[in-house]
Amino acid sequence: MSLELNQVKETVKAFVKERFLKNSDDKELTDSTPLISGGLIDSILTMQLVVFLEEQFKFEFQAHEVDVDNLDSIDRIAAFVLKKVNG
Amino acid sequence: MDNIKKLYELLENSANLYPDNTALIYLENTCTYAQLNFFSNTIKSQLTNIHIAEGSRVAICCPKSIHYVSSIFGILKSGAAYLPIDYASPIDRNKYIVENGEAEAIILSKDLYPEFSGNFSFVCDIAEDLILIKNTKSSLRKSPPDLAYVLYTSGSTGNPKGVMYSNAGALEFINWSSKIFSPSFSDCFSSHAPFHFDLSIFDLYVSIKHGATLVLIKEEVAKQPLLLSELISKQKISIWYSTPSVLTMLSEYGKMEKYNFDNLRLILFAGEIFPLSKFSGLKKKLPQVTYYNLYGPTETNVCTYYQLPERIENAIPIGKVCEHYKSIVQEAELLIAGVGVMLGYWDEKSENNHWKLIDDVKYYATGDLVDINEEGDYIFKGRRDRMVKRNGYRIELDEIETGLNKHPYIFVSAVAGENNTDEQMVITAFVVLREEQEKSVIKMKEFCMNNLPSYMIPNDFVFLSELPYTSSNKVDYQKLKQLI
Repeated sequence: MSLELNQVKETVKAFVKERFLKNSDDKELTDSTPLISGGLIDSILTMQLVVFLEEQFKFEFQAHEVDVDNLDSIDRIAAFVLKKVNG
Repeated sequence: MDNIKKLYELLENSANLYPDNTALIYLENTCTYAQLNFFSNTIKSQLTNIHIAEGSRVAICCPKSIHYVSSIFGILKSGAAYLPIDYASPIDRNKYIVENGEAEAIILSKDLYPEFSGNFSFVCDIAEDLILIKNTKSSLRKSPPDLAYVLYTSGSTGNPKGVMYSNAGALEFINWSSKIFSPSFSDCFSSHAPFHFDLSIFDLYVSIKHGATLVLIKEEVAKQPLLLSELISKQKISIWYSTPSVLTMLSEYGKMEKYNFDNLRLILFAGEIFPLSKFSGLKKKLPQVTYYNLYGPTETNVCTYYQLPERIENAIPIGKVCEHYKSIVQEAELLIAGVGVMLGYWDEKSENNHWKLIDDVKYYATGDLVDINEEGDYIFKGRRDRMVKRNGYRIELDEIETGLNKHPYIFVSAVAGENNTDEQMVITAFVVLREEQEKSVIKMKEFCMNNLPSYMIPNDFVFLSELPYTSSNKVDYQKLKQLI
């Protein structure tokens, strides 16, 4: 069974909220909120996100794939994960 | 070699001895010693044409590249001092540094020219994306004699301050490094730290002095452990120098087992405490490497060092004072004297209280509190003031507060730094918003991104209705820390 876009988005969103937005009453985390270029996550948190995605969705990042283009928003992450998992 | 008096002579000497050795590697580009010397001579002529000479300061603001290094040596050859600026930092901070440092000229990334065109006029192209521009003001202060470079670091007044170094002082450190680490022309050095960070002094000048190869690491790669593993392995790097944070990231997220690190023989780290557990994690993966902990505030560069033994059970000491320095401990504070110490701050207002005269020797008071163990090694215990270290960068918490207080929605803010259980520095901003404003971490971080260097962005934001104050009406930081 192939992975659904919304399913990936919800999982990633829950992770980002729980790990990176604890103290706020942020309701405005949207699928396009810039995570890296908006200063929300630094390089270490980016790597924690990478490890989470690898474990959760059972695939491996190539070294050059860990970049802003693939990880800067929930939208981009979901698109990338689907490409990796569903091929 | 002993008659070398200026940093640029290190390059000229190596260009004579090893003209065809690879001096620099950046992405797919390489450059020999003869080429690097030629490029820097060209830049020197361009600077001399606009009357840049001893006494001037030339800022550099662009991403790392071979031309960046040529520019550094071109500036030094002209007799001027270079003032490296973080290309990625907010433009207002960079403009402040250019203005405060009274730069006569800037070697600038072309895309930033509109930001400076008010006070600077175009002179010529330096490279494809790089231009030389000249200050239109004429009454600029002269540098002190022998000034080589000015590094701006976080200031407790809320603005960055310039630390001035002489050629003579830098050479003391470089020659000491030669003695301790015995590098050779067959070594391959990493250039991980940006050029506005004092770790870059070792990378640049020690490698060039010995005719070795220096691999310039692109800013985006420097923060990404998988790409770093790939790069160390592919370029066969033998001498690595970075902050412990980077090494921790490499060992925890770099998938090191997939790469070959056999050429790596020496790892130097500095800038912050390396938690023992994190160090052990790295050593397990790279047992063949010799490790040194180097310590020193920006004002002294490296002033103590410690070679890691086979086994270590306690916190890593900062070690013994380097030969070219004298040290003394007064009321637990480490004081350092020697030619390598900064000439002073560019802005004299920053000078107060940093110097102490003891038995006619002028010491720089580091503000770092130390202990001495049975082996005679210094152990770092903490700070006298509110300065913290994150990813090796020193941060005056006041500078973050000043930045945050510029936010139109922020009524008042206070910033605290504490190590977490993982011994990682966590910076928390306590913010009182003006009435009816939304408590949004996303918006706060976005604002910081545009107003503070990325290493100063607080990890967490806590929204309060008011700040706690002590009986003397000062912000009660102790109470705030209990809220973390």
